[in-house]
Amino acid sequence: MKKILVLMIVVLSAVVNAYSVALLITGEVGGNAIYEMMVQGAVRASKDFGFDVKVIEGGYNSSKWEPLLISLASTKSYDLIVTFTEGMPKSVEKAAKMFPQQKFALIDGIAPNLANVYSLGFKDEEMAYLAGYFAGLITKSNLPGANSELKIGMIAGDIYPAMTEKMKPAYEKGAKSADEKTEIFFSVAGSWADPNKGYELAQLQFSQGVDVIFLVAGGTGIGAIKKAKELGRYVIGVDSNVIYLAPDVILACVLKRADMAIYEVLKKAYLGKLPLGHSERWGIREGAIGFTFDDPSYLQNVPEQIREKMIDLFEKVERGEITPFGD
Amino acid sequence: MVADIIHSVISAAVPMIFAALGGTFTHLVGKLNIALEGMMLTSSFVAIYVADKTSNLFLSLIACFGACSVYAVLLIIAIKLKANIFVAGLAINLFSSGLTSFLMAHLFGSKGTIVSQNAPILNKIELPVLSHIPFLEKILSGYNILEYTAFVLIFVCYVLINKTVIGYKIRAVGKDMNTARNLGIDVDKMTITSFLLSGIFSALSGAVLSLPMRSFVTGMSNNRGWIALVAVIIGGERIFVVVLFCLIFGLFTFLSNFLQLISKIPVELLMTIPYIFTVLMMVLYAYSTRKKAG
Amino acid sequence: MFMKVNRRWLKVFLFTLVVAFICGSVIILTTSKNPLTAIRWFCLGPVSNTYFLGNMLSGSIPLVLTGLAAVIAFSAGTFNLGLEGQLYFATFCATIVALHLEGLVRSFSIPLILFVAFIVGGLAAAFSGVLKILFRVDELLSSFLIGQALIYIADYFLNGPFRDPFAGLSASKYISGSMMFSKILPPSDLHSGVFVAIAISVVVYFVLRFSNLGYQIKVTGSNHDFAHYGGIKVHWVWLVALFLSGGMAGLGGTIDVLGVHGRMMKGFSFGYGFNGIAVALIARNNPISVIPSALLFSYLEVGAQVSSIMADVTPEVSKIVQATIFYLITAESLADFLIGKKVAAHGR
Repeated sequence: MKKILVLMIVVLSAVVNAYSVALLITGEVGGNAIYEMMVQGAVRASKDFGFDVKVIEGGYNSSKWEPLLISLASTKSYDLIVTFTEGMPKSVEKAAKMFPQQKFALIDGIAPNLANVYSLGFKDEEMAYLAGYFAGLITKSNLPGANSELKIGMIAGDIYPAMTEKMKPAYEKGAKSADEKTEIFFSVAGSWADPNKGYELAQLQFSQGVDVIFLVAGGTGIGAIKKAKELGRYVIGVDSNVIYLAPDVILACVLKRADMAIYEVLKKAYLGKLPLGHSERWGIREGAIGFTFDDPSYLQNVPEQIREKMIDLFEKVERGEITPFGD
Repeated sequence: MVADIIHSVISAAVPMIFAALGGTFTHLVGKLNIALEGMMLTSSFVAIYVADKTSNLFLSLIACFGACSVYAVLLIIAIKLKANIFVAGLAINLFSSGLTSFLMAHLFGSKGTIVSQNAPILNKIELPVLSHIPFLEKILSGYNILEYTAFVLIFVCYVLINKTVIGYKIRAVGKDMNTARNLGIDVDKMTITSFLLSGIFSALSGAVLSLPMRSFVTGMSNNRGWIALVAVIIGGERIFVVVLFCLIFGLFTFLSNFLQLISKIPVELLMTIPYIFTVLMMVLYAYSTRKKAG
Repeated sequence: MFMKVNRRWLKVFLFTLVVAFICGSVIILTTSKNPLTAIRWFCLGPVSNTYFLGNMLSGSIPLVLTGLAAVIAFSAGTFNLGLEGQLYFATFCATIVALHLEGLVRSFSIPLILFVAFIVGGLAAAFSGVLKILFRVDELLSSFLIGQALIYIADYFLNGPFRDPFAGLSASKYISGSMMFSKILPPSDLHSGVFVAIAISVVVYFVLRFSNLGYQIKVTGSNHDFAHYGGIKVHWVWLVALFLSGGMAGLGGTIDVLGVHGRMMKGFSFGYGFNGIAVALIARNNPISVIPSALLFSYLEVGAQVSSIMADVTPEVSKIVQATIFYLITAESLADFLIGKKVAAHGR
C-alpha cells in the first residue's frame, strides 16, 4: 500500500513540465521589505513571461536553509532555484556540486563561480553611504527639526556580518564626508519586529541630541518613526520607499531595487541568457540602488541645496569617482 | 532627565505588567499560564485589525477580550482533557504565531508590517492635578489611556486578590485543592474564573503593545510574555512585587540600551544585562531575607 | 506494572495522534488550493523516500537528548527551563575545542568534544542548582534567565572573535571532517550520532530505574522532605540531576553540530530546549518514550518542510497544524471523552 502511494507521489511530481522557478527565501517573507519586493518582482516576471514561480520560506533558523536547498534540488522539478543573502554561498556551492545539472541563482550574495551558478550581489555600502551623507547634511542644516549639534543616529534590527562590515562603516563614512565632526550613535534592537523597542531606542538617541536616524530595522523602525514624529525629528528609511507612512518625518529613503533585479534575472533565465558561471555586483550604476529623488514629499521637505548635493554625490558614485570604501 | 528616564521605563514596562497581572491569576490557582506570550501576540493583532476597521478603541478592546477568552477556554478544555498545561501552552504560543501571520496575509495581503492609518490615536494625557508639581508631573503624567488603566488595575487586582471573597477562594484553590473542595469552594469555577481573568489582562497587554504604535508586526510580543511569567513566579500572590519586578527588568533594559550609546562594550554582552542582573537581584533578595530570618 | 502502563499509554497516545493528525489535515484542507496533495505530503512526506526519512531521523537526535535532559530534571523534582541556553553555550564551547583539535584520532577526539559539551552544559545548569541550594532561588527562573544570557554571550563570540570571516553569516569555521560523525543514508543528514543518542537514552533509562542514584532521584522528585528524612542528601541529588540535565542538553547540540552542520551557526538550535521539555512531557517522563516523542516532533517538522516544497503549505499553516497536534497530543482523556467513557474511567 505504502509503495503504491510512494509511486503515485513520484509520478505526480514528475508531471510538471512548464518552465518553473523556485525561490527559497532565507527567512520569512513577512516583515521583510526586501523579500516582499523579491516575491513581487518574481511574480511579475512569471506573469509577463508565463512560467511558474514557487516561493518557499525557509524560516529564521539559518541551519535549516541548506537542507531545504538540497531537498529542492533533489526534486529535480525546477529549472532554476533562486536563493538569497550572503549566508548562502557555501550552501549553494555544495548543492551545485551535488546536482551539476541543476541551475542556481544566488541574489544578494556572491557564490563561487561554478558552471551552473549565477550570482548577483548588491553594493549595500553605496546605499548606507548615501544615507550617511544625507544624514550628515540634515544635521548640519537649519531645518526646524535639526539642532545645532552634529549628531546622527542609526538603529539596526540585529547584528550580522553585512551590518558590521558594510552598512555601519559606510554610513559613518558618508556622514564624515558631509562633515568630519559628525558623531554617530548606533543602537541594536535585537529584533526586527519590535516597534516598542524601536520607540525606546529612538527616544534615547534623540535625548542625546541626535536629530536624524537611519533605520535598518524592519518593523522595529515603526516605533522609531513614531517617536520622531512626537519630537519633530527625522528618520531615513531603507530598501523601499516608505515616505508615505509619515511624510514630514521620513525625509528620504535609500532604495534597493530588489524587485527590478530579480525580474531581470528571471527574465534572462527564462530566455536562456543567464550568464551562468559568472557573478556580478550591482549598485547605483546598474540602477539597483536608488534614492527617493522624485518623491513629492522629499521635494517639499528637503531644502534645495541639500537635494543638489545629493544628486551631485549620487552621480559621482554612479560614475565611479567616489567609492564608499575608497577602493 | 531622571524623570524622563523613569517615565520611559514605566511606559516600556506596562505591557509586561498587564501580562504579569494576567499570569498571576492562573498562578494563584496553581497553574502556570505558559500561553501569555501567544495571547499577547494574538491580542495585539486583533486590536489593530478591529481598530483599523472601526476606528474605535472600545470595540477593539472588546475584540481582544474575545480573542484571549477563546485561548483561556482552550486552556481550560486542555485541563479538562487532562492534557499537560505546559505543552498546551506552548501549542497556543505556536498557534498564535502561525495564526497572526496567516490572518495578516489574508486580511491585509501582507505578512510583514501593518501600519494602520485608521486606528484611533492614543494621545498622551496630562493630568491637570499634577501640572504644578515639578518632578512628579513628569513621572506620573503624560501617559496614554491604556497606561493609566494599567496603574488603576494594579490596585484593583490587589484588592480583588487580597480583600474579596473571590480572591480568597482562588487563593484557597491554589494552596490546597482538596481542602478547598471540602470547604465547599467550587474548584472548577474558580479555575475557570482565574483563566478568564488571565485572558482579559493578556488581552490588554497585547492591546497596549500595538495600539499606541498603530501598527502590528509579526512577533512583536518579542518574549515579553516570558519575562512576565518570570515576574509572576517571583512575586507569587504579592501583586506589588510582581509589578516591581517588571519595572526593575525595564530599568535594566534601559540601562543596556543606554550603555549601547555611550560605551564600547559589545552589544550582545550588554543585552545580557537585564538577565544577569535579575538573577543577581534574586540572589540578593533571597540572601537578605534569609539573614533576617536568622 | 511498568510495561502495562506503558502499553495503555501507547494505545491512548496512538489514538490521540490519529485524532490530532485528522484535525491538522482539516486545517490544511481549508487553506490549501490543492488540499489532497498537501495533506499527503504533510502526513507521508517524511517517509516517502530515504532522503526525507534520514532527515527526519537526524532531526530527532537533538530532541531526544534535550528530552532526556528534561526527564532527568523532572525526575528529581527540579525544572530546568534553561536547556536552550545551556545547549547553545555548551555547543559553542565544544565547537571551539573541536576547531583546535586538528590531527587527533577520531576515536579520541569525538569523545573529548562530547565530554567538553557535557561538562560545560552540566556546569551551566548546576549553577542554577547551587543558587537553589544556597539562596533558595527558584531554579526554573534562574536557569531560564541565565540561559538567555548565555545565548547572547555565545552570539557575541560568533559575531566577533570566532566568526568565520568567509561565512556571510554569524557562524564559526567548519570543523574538520575527520571529527564528524559518519553519514548513514547519504545524501540525507542521518549520521552515526543516532546510535549515541539511542545508547544514552537506554543508559538513562537503566540509571533512573535500577541504580542507587536513580532511586535517590526518584524519591527526591516525589517528595523531598520524605527523601530528606530517609537519609538522602537532597541538595546533592538536585545538583547532580541538574548537572546531568544540562550535560544532556550540551550533548544534544554538539551531536547535531558534529553530525549535521559541521559548524556552530547563530540560532541553529532555536526551539530545541523548549521542544525538549515538550518531548519529555509527551513521553510522560519516560526515557524510552522520549524517542518516539522526539520522532513525532521531527516528523512534523519534516512534514511541514516537504509539504512546503511539494505543495502550497506555508510556514504559518504548518505552525497552526503543528500547534493543533501538540495541543491535543497530551490530552489523556481525549480518547475517553470522544468514546464517551469519561465518567466511568475517571470521575472526579
